[in-house]
Formats: sequence, C-alpha cells, structure tokens
Amino acid sequence: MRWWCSASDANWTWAWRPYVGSWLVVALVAFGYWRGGAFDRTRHRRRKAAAVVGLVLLLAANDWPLASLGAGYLVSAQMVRQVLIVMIAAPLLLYGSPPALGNWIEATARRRRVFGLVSTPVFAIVVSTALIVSVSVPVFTDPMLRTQFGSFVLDFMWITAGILIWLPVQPPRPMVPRLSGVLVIVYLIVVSVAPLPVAFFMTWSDFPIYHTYQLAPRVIGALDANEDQELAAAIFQVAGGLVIWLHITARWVHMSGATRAPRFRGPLVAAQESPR
Amino acid sequence: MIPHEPTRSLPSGRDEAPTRRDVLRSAALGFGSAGLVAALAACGRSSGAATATGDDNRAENLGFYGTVLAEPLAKPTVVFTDTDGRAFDIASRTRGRLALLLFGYTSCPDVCPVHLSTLAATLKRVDGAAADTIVMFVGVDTARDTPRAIADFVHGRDPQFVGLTASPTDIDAALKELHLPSVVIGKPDSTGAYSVGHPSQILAFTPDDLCHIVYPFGTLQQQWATDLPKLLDYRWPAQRPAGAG
Repeated sequence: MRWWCSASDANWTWAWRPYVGSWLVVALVAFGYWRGGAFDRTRHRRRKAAAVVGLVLLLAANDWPLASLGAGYLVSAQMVRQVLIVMIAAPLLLYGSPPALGNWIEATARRRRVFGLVSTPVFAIVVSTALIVSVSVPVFTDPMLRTQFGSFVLDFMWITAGILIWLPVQPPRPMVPRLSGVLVIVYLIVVSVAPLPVAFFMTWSDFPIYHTYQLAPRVIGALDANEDQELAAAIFQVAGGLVIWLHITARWVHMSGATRAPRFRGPLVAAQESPR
Repeated sequence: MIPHEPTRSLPSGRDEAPTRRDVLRSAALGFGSAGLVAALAACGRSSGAATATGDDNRAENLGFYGTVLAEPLAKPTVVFTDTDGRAFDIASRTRGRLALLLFGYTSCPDVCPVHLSTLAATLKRVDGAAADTIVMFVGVDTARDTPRAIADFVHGRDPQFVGLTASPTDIDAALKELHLPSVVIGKPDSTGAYSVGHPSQILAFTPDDLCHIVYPFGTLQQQWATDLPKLLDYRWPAQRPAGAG
C-alpha cells in the first residue's frame, strides 16, 4: 500500500487504492479541529458544516482516484486538485477552524507578529503565487511527481498557498480579517489574476509541458496529452476563476446587505458568534 | 541486435526511482529559479527541452535524440498487407522518403498508443517535408489485430498513418531482417487476456532508404519535432547495411 500518490508506469485501473498518508493527514486535522472545539454545540452550524466539507474535500483531493489521476496520468485532474485544495478546501477549513487556533495565535506577541506578517495581503499574494507557479514549473514538477515524498511536497505547497491566499480575508476566529469591504474584492481580483501566466503557458505552448503526462498511459483514449493540457488550462482559468468570482459575488451581496441592515428596526440579539 | 524492450517497459527517465536527494535537489532548483515564469516559458516553448530521455546521449548520437546504430539497417523485404487488404511493400512505397516503422498491437495499453499519439501530435506541429513523414504500424498480435482493428487504432490518431499486418511467420521474418527480437505472445489468463512482448523502438528510415537511428519509448513530441527535419537533411556516411554481403 502506498502512503501518498505519485506517478507510476502502471496502467490506470479503477480498482480502489487508498493512500494511508492522505487519510492520516485528514484524520489528524479533523482530530485537531475536534479538540479545538470546531464542532462544539455553541458553534454556528455553518462553520461546522464548512469544517466538515473542507475536510472531505481535502481527502477527496489527496486520495484515490483524483490524486492518482492527477499525480500520474492527467494534468487536467491535477488542476482539479489544485482548484479543490487552494480555492475551496482552504477557505472552508479556515472558516470552520476551531476557536482554539485563533486563541492560540493571539496568546503571545511573537505569534501575533508572525501572523501579522503572513496575513499581509502583499506577502500572501507574493508567496502564494510563487508557490503555485513553482508547483507548475515542469523542471520542478516532473521529478517531484515521480516519488511519493515529492508528490507530498507539491501537495503541501498547494495547501500552504491556499491557506496564505485566504488568511487576509478569512483568518481563524476570533481574529479580525486584515481586509474588509471593497478591499476584499480588490484583493480577490488580484489573487485571481496573479497565477494566470501558468495557464497562459499551458494554453499556448506548442507541446505538452509536463513529460510525466505526455508519456503516461492514456486513461481516456479520446483525450491525448495536448488536449489534456488544454483542458487543464481551462480548469485552471475557468473553474479557479469561477470560484473566486463566486466569493467576490458573495462578499458583494453580504456588503450590500450589511449597508442596508441599519434600516431595520427589529430586536437586537446578542450572538455569541457571528453567523457569517 | 537491437535490444528487446518489453511492452510495458518504463519510459526512459522514469525507470530509475530518484533518491530523496534528487527530489530535494529538484525542490531547491524549483525554489531557486530566479525567474519562475521565465523558466516555465523556456520549458513550454523550447523544442529542445532538457529531458532524461535523450539529452545526456545526444552528443554521442550526432545531436539526435534517438540512438544511432553502428551499422544501418535495410528496409524489410517482407510484403505486408495494409488495412484495405492491399499488398504494401515498404521498400518501394517509402523510397526516398522519411519513414517511421513500429511494431505493436492494438490492445496495447501503454507503449503503442502513446507512441502513435506522440507522433500524430508532432506531425501536426512540424512544417514542410517533415509533416509528410510516413508512419507505419505493424500489428503483431495477429489473432486480435485484424485489418479493421488496426485501421481503427492508427487512423483514430492520424488518418495518414499506415496500418499493416502479415502472417506471424512474415512478421517474425521482418523482425529478423531488422535485427529485432521476435514477438512473444503470453499465455492467456483465466479471463482470456494475454500479454504481448514486442520491440518498442521506432525505426527511422531516412531518405537514403536505410535506418541509421532508432527511437526508444519515451521520446517526446519536442524531441521528434527537433529530429524529424534533421533526419530529412542529414547526410549519412555511405555504409553497407547490416547483414549485407
């Protein structure tokens, strides 16, 4: 049994092949969330649901079949994994993170300083973009995909990039976001544009840029290596962009609602935790 | 004799598991790239992108990504049958042209489809005479490789590809002429499936009607696109083919 996904010379099979490492990582995170109070009764149902969905998506992205397909057969599957981890699972996990995490960060001045630095929008954009572009550079990616350890490093870089991207707008509670209002929307637009050069080269390169996927046994006969790469670029741009724009729309709607809220004269209820 | 490569051999460059040090070196390389985007551009556009497949041996192979043979090979004298049922004499039908010949089988799950897809994609991206390279696929699993099956297999990738078949005896004779090992048909398992061992190299016959160079599995589109025009223009030294008196 393999502990993490990696490229293989074997032909693709639909026989179930779980990765021990993926299950272990998700189990550890879930345990930490549970111990930290992420699923306490006092927590808002939406946050608990976000934590559960985030964990499930993290497992789905790092376990068979998606991880196997992405690590060794189809670059389009790898892009689906990237969108899942960076754009969907990371913000959900931050949204549903246990209060103990935020309290732990805020407990000492040193941790606050470190968190203050990594949650700076400029830092988050520069480092997360560098990570995403690094994971996409063929001279780096191809050899890394060949081993379980290398593939684990790539996935870890994605998770780190995802957390960094969303920290300025979605820090662990009870911490306050660095950005709010229109600045969040501006930040998310910049985030959606920053890694586009990767998609550009995937779309316009004359040949498949990753040797791993070019020489992999075909999973879908009708999808050759060139078409697979074009599909990957589309997923990177369209699916990744769509997720960001859904976030932007949701923020916009929320902002609009917040500006109208004072007009209502209903009874004020003191909530222990904001449902947002 | 050209070494036999089993059907499910690892692609070149993937057959040696890298050590953790290799991985860490790759990581350092990735992080340390001064211009990551520039690096990406270089890899995506360069037709000579560095690969484990051929760069290390290019110097000793006259700058080609394939392996140059010590003695060239003549075209097989066996007359094959094409997918329309007509006789196909390789020597006369490809005279003076650049022609690539590979032996495989239509049920092949990895090497053969990747070879053909790689060549089909490459020929769409090269210009001039290189785009007119003749690609011939001989189906060696005669029980399953019917003319219809071969036609579907090769024309699905490129309608210009030539699908060929012959009797097992003739196929073995052709392989012998080309100094290639014979086909090995495995014993059927309980489901009736069986493996087929066959040479996985592609033989390149240049316009002098000799094969001076063979390409292993793992040759990339970028490498084919670099080599095909060179194969058309390269002046090979006059040599007698292997086995010629």
